[in-house]
Amino acid sequence: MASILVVEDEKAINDLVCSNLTMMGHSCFSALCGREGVAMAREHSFDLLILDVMLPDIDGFAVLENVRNVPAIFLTTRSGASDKVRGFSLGADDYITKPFLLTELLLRVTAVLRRTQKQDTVYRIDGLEVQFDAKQVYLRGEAVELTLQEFNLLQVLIEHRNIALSRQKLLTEAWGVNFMGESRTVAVHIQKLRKKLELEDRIKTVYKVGYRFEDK
Amino acid sequence: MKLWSKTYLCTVALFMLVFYTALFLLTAPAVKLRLKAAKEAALSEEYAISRSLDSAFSTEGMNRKQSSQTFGEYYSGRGVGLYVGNEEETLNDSLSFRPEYESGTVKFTRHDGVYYICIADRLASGCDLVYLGSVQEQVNACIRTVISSVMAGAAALIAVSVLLYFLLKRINRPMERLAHELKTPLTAISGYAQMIQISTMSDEQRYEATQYIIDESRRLGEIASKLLTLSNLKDGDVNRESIEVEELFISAQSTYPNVIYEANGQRVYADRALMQSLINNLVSNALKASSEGETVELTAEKGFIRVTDHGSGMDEKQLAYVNNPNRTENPNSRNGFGIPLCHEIARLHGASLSFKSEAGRGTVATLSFHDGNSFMSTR
Repeated sequence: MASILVVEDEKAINDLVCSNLTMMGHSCFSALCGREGVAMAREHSFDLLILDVMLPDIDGFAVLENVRNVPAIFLTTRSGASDKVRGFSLGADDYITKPFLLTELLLRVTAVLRRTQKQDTVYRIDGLEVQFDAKQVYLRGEAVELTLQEFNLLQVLIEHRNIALSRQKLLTEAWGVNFMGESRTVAVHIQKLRKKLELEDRIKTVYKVGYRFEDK
Repeated sequence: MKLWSKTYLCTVALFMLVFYTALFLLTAPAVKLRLKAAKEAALSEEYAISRSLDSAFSTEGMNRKQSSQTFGEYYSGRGVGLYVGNEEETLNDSLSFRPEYESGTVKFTRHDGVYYICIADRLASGCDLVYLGSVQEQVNACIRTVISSVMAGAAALIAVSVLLYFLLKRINRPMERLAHELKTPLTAISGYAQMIQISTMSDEQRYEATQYIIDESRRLGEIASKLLTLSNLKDGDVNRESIEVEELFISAQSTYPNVIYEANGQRVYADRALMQSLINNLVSNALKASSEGETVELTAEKGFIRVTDHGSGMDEKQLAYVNNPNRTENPNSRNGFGIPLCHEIARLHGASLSFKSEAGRGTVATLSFHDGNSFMSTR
């Protein structure tokens, strides 16, 4: 579980980002203007900042300049190359232009957290325990044998819990970008996970979208 | 680079090309003509000298050297150097330097930073005659012509490019703002729709998400109606009539319940739809600045309509922005183009719109009618 600060003046978008990150198990804080964001970031230590560029008082770049050394993702309507360069030169980890795809944003958040190693190392639910570092899975205290692909798929599903990911996204995330698999491959692995770990009720098939790991 | 700056740079470059080509075509013949005139004057002078020398040399008993020197002295007083002589003897040499020459040719030459015209001729007696006259004055005149035309060109170019820059910027700014204005609600709508599709949600969360979609759609609708009003404005479609201010206030109150008003029986001579849109815009902004449940006051007096709120107020930067009808740079993304629209409507009614604000204590927007005819009291 990572703590994330969202600085965005549009309440609708701020709420949207926060509620989805909260569903994924992160603790999320929101600031509606730049100064509030800086004050909050100085008071607490956050694992990630999600910053809008156009804020009513000081812009998102200024917020990052004032905070420094915290991973950050910019979220903005400006798509000019000069803005992107400015964002990255300030040490931003990613730059997403509005309107954005929600899944895209959430995947990038996970990517940054993985890179900065702010992810949980263990996840427990019902009788299941997943150790991400050791790549071990225990069901009611007993180790369960999983193939590497099955484990990767399980990790992606848990990292994005309560969010449905398409088969294509699951393929790129769990098998890697260059894997030339079919979406059928995903279905087969999902079946195996459900059976081996008794996750029939947890891993849901979402109509026409993909699969979702639910812990609520 | 943005499209409009590309267009701008291309236009300026093209203008520069055309302008300087035209200037070149105009100045080049003038320069040529001046140099040609200098050459012809020198040639006719040289012709006169050669004829005189020929006739002097052919006269019996005339001292060639003496007569050559007489010519030489006379012309050197006029700034022209003469050489008369052949390989065996030099009859006169008043040249300031010895140029390379070939008899029967005319050429321009440069020595010690001064331009000369050099004419080499052969006299009937077999002597060489070299005529060397300074054309620096004519060359200076040509250089002056070229420099002044380049300067005039540069001045015109700067003026045109500055003008064009502001023109293009003025056309493009509202477009950029509009794009931003549309993107924000669209981002929220598409975001919440995606959330409904992919996330595990409680009933409460589902309600909130759909409510956001409804609100943001309404906001898009408001933007569309503002745009419609603006485009009507641009067409000059203003139908003024005498309206009870109270009617406008009542209508504003029906849209925004937290409004109290005091119309004092005033009437205004205005376009109903536009005036309503102006008042609604001001009220909507005032309510945005107020905390929930706070009221906004509408008052009409002779020559004035006021919208007063007790909200958060504005800082100087924002106040400067909202008070300036021509300013398009927007320090606060949430204001959108509502305020410029209000200014435009006020302008069309011969009125002006001004804001007074104190941070933390609220804002007063005053619409003042300068034209006595547009505001009437029934009492």
